[in-house]
Amino acid sequence: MTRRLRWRLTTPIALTITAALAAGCSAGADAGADAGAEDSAAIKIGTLYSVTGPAANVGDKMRKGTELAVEQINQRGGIDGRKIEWKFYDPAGDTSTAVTQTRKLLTDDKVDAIVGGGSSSGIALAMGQLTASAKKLFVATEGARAIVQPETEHPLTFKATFNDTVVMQKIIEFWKAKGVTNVALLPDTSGFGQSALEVAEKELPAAGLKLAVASFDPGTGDFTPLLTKLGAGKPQAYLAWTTDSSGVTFLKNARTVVTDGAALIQHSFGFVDDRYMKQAGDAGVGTVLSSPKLPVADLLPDSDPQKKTIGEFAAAYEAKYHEQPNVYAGQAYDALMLAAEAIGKAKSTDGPLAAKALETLGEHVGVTGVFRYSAQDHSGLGTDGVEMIKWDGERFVLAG
Amino acid sequence: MAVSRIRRWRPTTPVITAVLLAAMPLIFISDFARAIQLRFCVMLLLLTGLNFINGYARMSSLAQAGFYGLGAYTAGILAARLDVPPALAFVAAPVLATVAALVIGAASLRLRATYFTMATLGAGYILYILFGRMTGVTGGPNGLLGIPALSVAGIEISGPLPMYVLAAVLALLGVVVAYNFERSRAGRALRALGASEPAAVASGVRAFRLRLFAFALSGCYAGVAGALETFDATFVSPSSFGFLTAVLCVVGLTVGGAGRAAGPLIGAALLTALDELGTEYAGYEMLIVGLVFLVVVQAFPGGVAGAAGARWPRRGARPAVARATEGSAS
Amino acid sequence: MNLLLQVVFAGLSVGAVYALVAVGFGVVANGTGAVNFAQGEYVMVGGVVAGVVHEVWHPPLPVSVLCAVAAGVVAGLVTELAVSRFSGARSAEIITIATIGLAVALKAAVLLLTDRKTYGLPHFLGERPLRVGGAVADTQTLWNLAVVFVVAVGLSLFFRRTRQGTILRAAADDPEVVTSLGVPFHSVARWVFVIAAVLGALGGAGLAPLSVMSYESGTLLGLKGFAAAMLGGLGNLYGAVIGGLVIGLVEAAVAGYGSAAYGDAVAFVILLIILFTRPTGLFSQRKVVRV
Repeated sequence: MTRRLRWRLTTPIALTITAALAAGCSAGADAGADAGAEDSAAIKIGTLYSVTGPAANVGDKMRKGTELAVEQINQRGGIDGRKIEWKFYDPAGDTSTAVTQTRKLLTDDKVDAIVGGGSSSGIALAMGQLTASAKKLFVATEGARAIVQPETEHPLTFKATFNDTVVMQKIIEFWKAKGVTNVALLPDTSGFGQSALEVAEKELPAAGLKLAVASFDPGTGDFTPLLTKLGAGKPQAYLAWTTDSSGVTFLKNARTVVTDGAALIQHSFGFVDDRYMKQAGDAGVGTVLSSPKLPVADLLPDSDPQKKTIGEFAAAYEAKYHEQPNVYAGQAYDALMLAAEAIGKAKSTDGPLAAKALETLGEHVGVTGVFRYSAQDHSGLGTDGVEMIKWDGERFVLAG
Repeated sequence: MAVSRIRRWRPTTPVITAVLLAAMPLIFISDFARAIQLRFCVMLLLLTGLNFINGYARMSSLAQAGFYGLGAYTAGILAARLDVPPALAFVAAPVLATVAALVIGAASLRLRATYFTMATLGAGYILYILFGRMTGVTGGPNGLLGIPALSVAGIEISGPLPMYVLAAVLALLGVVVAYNFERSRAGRALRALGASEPAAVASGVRAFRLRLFAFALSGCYAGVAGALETFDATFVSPSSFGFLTAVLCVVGLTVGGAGRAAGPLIGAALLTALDELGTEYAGYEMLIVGLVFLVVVQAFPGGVAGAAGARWPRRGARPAVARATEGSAS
Repeated sequence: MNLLLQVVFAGLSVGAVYALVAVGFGVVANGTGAVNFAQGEYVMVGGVVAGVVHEVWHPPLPVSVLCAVAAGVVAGLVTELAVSRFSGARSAEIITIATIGLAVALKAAVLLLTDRKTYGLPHFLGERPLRVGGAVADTQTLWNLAVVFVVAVGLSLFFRRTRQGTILRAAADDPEVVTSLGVPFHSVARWVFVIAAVLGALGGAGLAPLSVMSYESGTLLGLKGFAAAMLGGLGNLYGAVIGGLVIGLVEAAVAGYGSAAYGDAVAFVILLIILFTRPTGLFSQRKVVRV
């Protein structure tokens, strides 16, 4: 009697565990079993963006950008007649989840290339190790230089974003033209901000600029002590480096605390977003940002090589999602287009061949910039893709 | 006695675990399935550890993610930055996590249960902030790279299958230790303490020391889980050790069945399946997690394991202390 | 510029919101004995609801704020229903753990409903800041401090002068007595959760002009607010207010004189110090003036 009861008791427990685990593993088994039934000619591309978790708004725009690129390529008939089969997963900002999902893409979905590194530099760095050992092409949409540098150690990894060194260089040129010699930098404590801090501490003194720094946590509710502290050094420019919404608070506080009317209030390319600017209200007006050309494409001279590409991208994006694209959507769109072009040129999904094709692509006119990859440069973007822009209260305009 | 004869025959949690861990790689053979299975082992270690303090001692800890991270970073920093042999770095992880648990526990385990929970929350969060901010030591927000492969006595353990075997052996060891602890004198005393402190103390249980022991064990298990994660992913990033991970550990254990031997096993399986669910239904999975947890905490305080046990009650209504001092409920 | 004064203003500005959250923790702790992990999410809900109403319908500001308060009432009722009523749970530990589930679900629901957007509000009293002694004070800070003051005085009158308040105060002292007088536990729970949620929502609406709100905004605020409540003595009304302001001030001082990069750790370090050395808080006198 007792024995039977104990057996009956353990059965449902064992069943629950087995069912849950089977659910976990079976997705993989299914995909493997179905592989034969699928169109064997399709090119499989896998993508990770964090559309939930702390940076969800960034990830959401990236997902839309890549999705649009996949759709356009397939409407055109695919790459050399082979359609793209797109696999998308959401690591929610968590690196260990992203590692598992990347393994799923590589070993289970058997993707030919990976585009998009989870919307966070930390995740993209972790993914790069896995794609490298699987010998697959990886085009990241995240910022950190370490994702592709040094290029000799990352032969198959590229990124479709500006290096912060390039952006910083453009900002330094802008400051020099304006006669600014004394600046304050406010990077956030994320990888994005801290990487910029590293660059600034090296480049700015070398360029003869005086630098004061105050890092802040994403979510900071009041910047006035930081700004007052930095204000003691009478900087001519205050540059925040963040993608977090607390950048709005920075703008509001800067307008009240910074009494020097001539001082520049600046954001980096991580904060180019109409919605944030509008939420800053009057305090946002006059903010100078360094940005890819996307937000000011219609103001560019017709001779600008990117004008047409950006115009077509923006129109297609608005038609599909009924919202304005931002720079994140642009770089995610570029990343997929680049991967597709490389595979098309190489006429192969083999990682090293596709990487070689990217390095010898010549010029690829993208939304984010004109990409010129080489064996020594896997970011491919120069200062010619960066514009200094200004929020005029309604929209972004060119900052002279 | 009849009871002891029956015990020999019954499929105990370690037996189920052993069968599962051995069968899984045979049934699902892809490299990805192996990655999922390894994740299951890591979760199983985290939850089995948490079960000592949250389950048996009934003091809810929210520091498990912090200890997990401490283990991961200890192994990672020693192996990648200080050139300590990987095997030694692996062993150092649970040691440091145990020490941290002893320190935090010594300061907070005299508090009432709710305040202890908040103290562990605070300690775990501070650890999380340190992981992300001490860039010179931890690699900062972008994470720690360059972790070498694990090798023991010249044999390299890397690649999906060897890592899984290591994880499975460690997880099974963890479950066996927990199972034997539950039946030991200390384990029975701890469960008596969880059921009723005054009664347990009256019968001579040294509450503080016992709880500290349970908390140290939870830290030790989390440290092992962290070291496994580090050498498997060859990468450590602070994003995996935040408040959400701490909450998910508690959710997994509670839904599985806190204080039951089978609880961590079921909880780990559910959390592993949740990863898969989140992959397909971004955003909805946390809504489901929150609601399921809400219902289980109140309607099925024993979790899945408890609910399964309650359907086949085999003991009459007995005082809680008597029940807790007996053999396992599952 | 006067850094010291600026630190004080910034500290009060952020501290006022912590204070409202901390008072909410105290009210719930007195009524149910539980720690309410959803407290921070009430702030998020209040801020987001006010922001959505403002953005979509452009009503006068007071209407947006009233909507936030209404959302607070609903959130409070939902909390009581979810963590206590449907199961009849009365144990502080179970309610505490259950609120974790509620907080996770609330956050996920808002993420899905708002599609991850951020929301803001204009300043209630005009954008032009006040300049005092070489420092700048936001008018919104004055509003938030005024709300904290009114809430503290109002709650203290409510708990002393009204019948319902007296019942809640008695429940804090001895739940058994109140139950034996025929007041069901869930009635007490409903009152305290609604009060706490309205306080949070008010804080959220008041915070939205200072920093934009999204589904992410609540969790950390809640945890820091708890540290504030413990600092002042959990359940002590004026202690919670002082605790909130002190944590705000220390954070601002760390930002102004040290490194803001460790700003998020401040509240948790204070929480640990207070738990390890004086868990009753700075101001709590046992069984005296508990709310």
